[in-house]
Amino acid sequence: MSKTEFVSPEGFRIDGRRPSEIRTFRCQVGGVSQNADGSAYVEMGCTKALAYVYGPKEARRGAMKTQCGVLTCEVSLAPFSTADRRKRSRYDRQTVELALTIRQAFESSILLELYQRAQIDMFVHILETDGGHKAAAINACNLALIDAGINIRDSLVACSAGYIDGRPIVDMNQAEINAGGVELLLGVFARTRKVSVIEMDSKITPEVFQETYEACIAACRDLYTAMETAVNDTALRLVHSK
Amino acid sequence: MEVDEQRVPEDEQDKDFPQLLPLVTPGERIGHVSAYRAGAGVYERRGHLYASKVGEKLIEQDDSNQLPVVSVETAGLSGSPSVPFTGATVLAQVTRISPRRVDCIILSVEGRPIRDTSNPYKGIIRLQDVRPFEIDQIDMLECFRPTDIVKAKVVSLGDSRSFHLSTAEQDLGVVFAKSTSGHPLVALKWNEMECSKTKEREPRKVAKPSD
Amino acid sequence: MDVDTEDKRIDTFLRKTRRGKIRKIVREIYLRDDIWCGVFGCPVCDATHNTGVLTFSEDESLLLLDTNVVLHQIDFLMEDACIDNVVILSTVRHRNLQTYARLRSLCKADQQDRYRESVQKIKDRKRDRGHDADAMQVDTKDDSRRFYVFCNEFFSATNVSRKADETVNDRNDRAIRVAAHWYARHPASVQELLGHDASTASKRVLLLTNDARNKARAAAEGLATMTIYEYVDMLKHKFPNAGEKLAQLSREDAEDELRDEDELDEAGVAPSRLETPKEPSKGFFPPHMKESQIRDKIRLKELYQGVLRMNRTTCFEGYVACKGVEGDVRIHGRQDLNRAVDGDVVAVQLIAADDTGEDDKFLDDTQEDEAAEADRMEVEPAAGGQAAALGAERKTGRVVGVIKRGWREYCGSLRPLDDFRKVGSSAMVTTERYFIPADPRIPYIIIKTRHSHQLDNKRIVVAIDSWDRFSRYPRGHWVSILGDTGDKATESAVILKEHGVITRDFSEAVLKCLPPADFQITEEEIARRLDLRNILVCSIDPPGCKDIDDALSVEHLPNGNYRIGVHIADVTHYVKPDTAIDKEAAERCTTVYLVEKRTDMLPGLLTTDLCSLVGGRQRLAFSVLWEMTPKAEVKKTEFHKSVIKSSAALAYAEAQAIIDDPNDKSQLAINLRILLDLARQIRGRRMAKGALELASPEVKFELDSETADPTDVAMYQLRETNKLVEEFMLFANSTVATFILEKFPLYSVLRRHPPPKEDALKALKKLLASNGFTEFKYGSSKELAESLDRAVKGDDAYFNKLVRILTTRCMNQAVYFCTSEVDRQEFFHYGLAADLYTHFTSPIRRYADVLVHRLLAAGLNIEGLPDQLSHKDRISDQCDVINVKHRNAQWAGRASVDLHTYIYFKKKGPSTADSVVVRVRRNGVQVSIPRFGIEGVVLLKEADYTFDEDKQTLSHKSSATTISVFDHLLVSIRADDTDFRNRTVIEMVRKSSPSEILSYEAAEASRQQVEKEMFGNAQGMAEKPAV
Repeated sequence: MSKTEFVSPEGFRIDGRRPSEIRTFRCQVGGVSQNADGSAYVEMGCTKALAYVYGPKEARRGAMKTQCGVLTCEVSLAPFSTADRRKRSRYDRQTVELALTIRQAFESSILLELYQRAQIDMFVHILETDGGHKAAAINACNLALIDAGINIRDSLVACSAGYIDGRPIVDMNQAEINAGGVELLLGVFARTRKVSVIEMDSKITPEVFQETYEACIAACRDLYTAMETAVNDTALRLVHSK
Repeated sequence: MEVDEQRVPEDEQDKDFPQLLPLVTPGERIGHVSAYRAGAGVYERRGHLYASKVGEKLIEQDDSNQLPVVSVETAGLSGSPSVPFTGATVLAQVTRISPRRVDCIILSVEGRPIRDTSNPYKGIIRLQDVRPFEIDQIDMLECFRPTDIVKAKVVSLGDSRSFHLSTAEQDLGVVFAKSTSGHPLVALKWNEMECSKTKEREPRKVAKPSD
Repeated sequence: MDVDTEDKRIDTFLRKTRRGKIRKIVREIYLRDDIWCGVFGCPVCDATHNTGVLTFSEDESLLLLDTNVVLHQIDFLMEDACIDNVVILSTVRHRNLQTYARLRSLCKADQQDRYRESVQKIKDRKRDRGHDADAMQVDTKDDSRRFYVFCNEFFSATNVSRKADETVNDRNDRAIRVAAHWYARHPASVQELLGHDASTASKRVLLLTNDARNKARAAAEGLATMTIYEYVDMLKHKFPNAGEKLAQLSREDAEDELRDEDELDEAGVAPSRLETPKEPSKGFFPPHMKESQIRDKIRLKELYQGVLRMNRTTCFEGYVACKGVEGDVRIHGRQDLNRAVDGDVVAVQLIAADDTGEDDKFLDDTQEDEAAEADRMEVEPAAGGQAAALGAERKTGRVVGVIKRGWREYCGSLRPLDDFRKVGSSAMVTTERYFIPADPRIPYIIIKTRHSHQLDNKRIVVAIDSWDRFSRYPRGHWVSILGDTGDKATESAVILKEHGVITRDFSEAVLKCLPPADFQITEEEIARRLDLRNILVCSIDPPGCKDIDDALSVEHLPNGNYRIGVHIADVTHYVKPDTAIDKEAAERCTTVYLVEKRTDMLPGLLTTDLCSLVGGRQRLAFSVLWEMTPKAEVKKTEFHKSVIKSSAALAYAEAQAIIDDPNDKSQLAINLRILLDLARQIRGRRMAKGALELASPEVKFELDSETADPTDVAMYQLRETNKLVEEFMLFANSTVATFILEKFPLYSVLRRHPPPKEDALKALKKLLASNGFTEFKYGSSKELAESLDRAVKGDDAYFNKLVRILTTRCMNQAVYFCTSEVDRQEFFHYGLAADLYTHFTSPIRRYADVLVHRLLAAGLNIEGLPDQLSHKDRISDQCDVINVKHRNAQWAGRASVDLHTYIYFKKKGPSTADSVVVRVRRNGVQVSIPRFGIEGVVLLKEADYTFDEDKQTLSHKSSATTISVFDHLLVSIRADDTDFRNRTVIEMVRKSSPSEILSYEAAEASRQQVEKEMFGNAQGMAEKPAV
């Protein structure tokens, strides 16, 4: 009993959310950078991520493909993003892995066949992390791509979910992740609900997985609603200001 | 992970994600191939047409008997960057001239500038694409000079290095150039320009200025 | 979006990590509107969400509790009838989650349904309460008291952010006041409903706080507020029994506890508290240092931190194992201990070496009377000075502060009143009484009670509340009554409670996990399993055994080999991970066997029925199947979930009889003989590898025997059939261990037994050498085993047994561990000479086996790996719990044997017997008494003897008598119940003459006789498990 109780009998998590509630989602589509072709800022609770998109532009010599465009991604975790300050090298395993995940996810999202011989670069900066920065990074990239006007099949929405004390909880914060339970990262296409990213390290039973998965999908849907509203608002505002 | 696309019935999609605002967002279904042709910002999957950008849905009927074109006009978000595509009109700057071809870098596509100039798209105008007639008589140096700004059309994506451009139309060719003395040239006729200061004449493949 | 409101609060604070880094923690708290007040009939909340359980009315206050009240008065709150209609605020959880959880357990899930049904009943009860109030027993099962958890921390209307110049405590106090205000205002429409005006409504919300400052502020803000004492006083007329369990809090403690973090902020302190005399000279003990001061000094290595462990027999001397100090730091005497109690985390200051050689002494465990004690304290400094001259290395320290209290609940009795006080005290007057804990390591505790007489001669449970420096003893309050002192059942309950054994009934939630009593195995389940119902399976256990975990089978294969099956009850089929029943079992960890009582790990339906592999019934099992050649070589190993039908549940003797009867040619007899033959071969191989056979009962007992439970030792009669079963169980355990380790190299639960302590063995070797036995080798378990076999002294049959006993003293405990926590080289099981070992064969009574069953099932892809087994930390934590519980269970078993020894001698009266010295100390010797099979300490006067540390001898100063190890002494034995500590006292009469030394056989025979008398028809023993 001495351990932290992650979901109280009254049904609240340590930060006052219910198990199925996501954290406050805020985002800004575009306008973060004047230089980039597309940019976005995403806040999921205390986790904050910036994404810049450059391109499409002429692909680098070596990388160029004639049949479709090339996508690159680079992630950096700000030294001040976590509770203990640590400078991470550019080739830090964690960030390289995340970059790869993001790239692969968006390769299935972007209509790359339209961008033959071109290259699209995505840069993600994690400014602060309180759990779920991978999901925030993916969501930021998605918005930045929309901002850049790049043709995508569908919005890619990502969220994490865990399973603590016999029930799934979504969009975990760092304290909940530190409990060391299951952490499932899911990136799904908002409309088709086709899964593009799935990541999980723990061994769990199929039943637990199913429950966690469904909770996560529902959370992605909530996130998408918020994201779409933001995109529409921004677009409308710009249309009217023109 | 393979998830069957059919898992979500098509009809249900819109129920789950109701359209909140008059704009369309990527992945939103905007029609069927039996009713429309796909234009810019639209892609087709399994007979349906979907938006691939955020913007207003536009339906245009051209003169032909074909189906109307549905496209998504990008709303004023930061981007809509451009990649040269076949048939696009581009502005390019000449960088190098050789007897058989002219190398240039592309500055804008369809009137939209290419912002990132660090790694520009390259184009070449081959001898046979300079003009539609008397190809065997062309002297490259009489058509272009380095630093000239040329209006051209993308004929093909070319080889792995450059797009193939063409100026073989009346309104294509040099639109801006400077004389040997460094002053802007003014178009005189289809193959000649005049220095605005010294009135010296220089040969060029000139684009027919629009009114 | 799901979050109803965009509002959130961001808490930031700095926290120091264990490594000393400072981290800034940012935490967001979401504030919401969907939190309901819990007041019955509230038109805002109750009407929409049916959450009402509380009453908001003219004649009953709504109680809100301050943090300090919850923290210090939890026993009172839990049980006292006057605490009713309570709002539990989530703010109070900040201080102690465990206490909070306890408090919250008072709100029952179906509380409000019940409430609705019994609104009327409550009203009746309230009217009647005045009448039945003189019933002594506080109604602990009073489930009609109303509690409601109000999550004020998450509620936007009661949210409070910490101000810049505000301490955490002040913020929490303010949060509580804000919540109180909210309640006072909130049910505005309720007031309308009831026809009150707002001003009286605010009086109906009562804040209970013991913090003077909070109280003053609340009063200033117009809140109705009282201290808990005032409240109890006020309700005296209604609840005459109220307040019985109120914690006796000292002023100083209240100050310490509540104000430790805001030393600088004294501005608002009520002046009354400052009147407490502060000069150290006035108090009985020196004051403790401030927490911050301690922290700093620990960093500077001026102080050291560690857990205080008292010597087993006294509350005046203990040791602290400190980080950064080599060896233990001894703390001696009441002043130096400075109110620290066994188990506390203390800050220690080293003082000049003060070695009186006390650790070579057996401490007298009677707590002196105050006078005697005063004498002793005066004597002390002299002894210290003398020792300092010796310049010994032993470090001595003094407690300067308690970092964390390790207080638990203690069992014991009240010290009888002096005659004159007895007359003076009448029934309902509050008296102060001394409580004598059963555990001699705990000092007396002063309690206040109005039921002094009812508590006399009872075993009661007491909790310590505080210990200020003006009081010689800690203050506490009683929690519950166990029963009459001296009553066997009560004393057993004491033993269980003192050893942390969970004795509560299985909860409803646990029982709900059980299959129905008429449960039948479904055909589908059978189809999923290997059907072994048509093979001849039998179990061999002690007579009368009801929880049969294991059964054996043999099949003859066409190729001349045998298929041997070990079938273990499939407990995990019924106990699924993370269900209530599983959690309960995980907490209990083991079935505890006392001499006459068994405390089950799982409910009876499983233990003795569904899981028990009784004869003639089909049962689910987890089977290990080997194909073995007649030479006992394993050709193939398989594991299956199976269904079996045991043909016979045999007792050891029955099985032995069948084997021995040459005329019995039945299949069963043939099979048993094959098994026996194979078992012998396997055993032979194991012995050759160097397994230790420490066959004597005591020895097995000490060694945390792998195969038998502690208490069966006394009746352990070695028949071949015992060994047969044991051998196959060991073999099955090893086989499973190998398999799960291969499948889950990081997540397996195994059992290891580290090699014995080198130093101890070296000392033993020296001792044996001085007794003429020089060939003692202990390089490996094999060498040791051989040495033990050779250690025979012609004229003393008891010698060998003693050597074995002494050897086991050097042994380490075998422990469960998670394979990712320990180096691969250390997986070894020394005692069994097994590379890998685990426990698989008794899932009914050991939780480790349940874990291993799940691992095995997961390894076979029968089931997934449950959450509990997929985190190193969780596995390792669980292993720690199991290890502790196992050790406690053993100690409880031992204590139970001691208790029966005591009862035996009490009945029999003082006796004399021959004994053998097993250990020599400065002021006494430890002896083993073969005739009674007991051990004990004989205290000798230190002044009369000279102690030779090298030779381990005591020589009498005036006569020529010398006592050394292995000497025979004639001792007298008697029962002693001073201080209600039931001890068996042994005193030396003289050295035994050779004629008095019993032969080994005679001693054995009489011991068995004594055991029969001692334990009689104790039922716990009859049901003792086999392997």
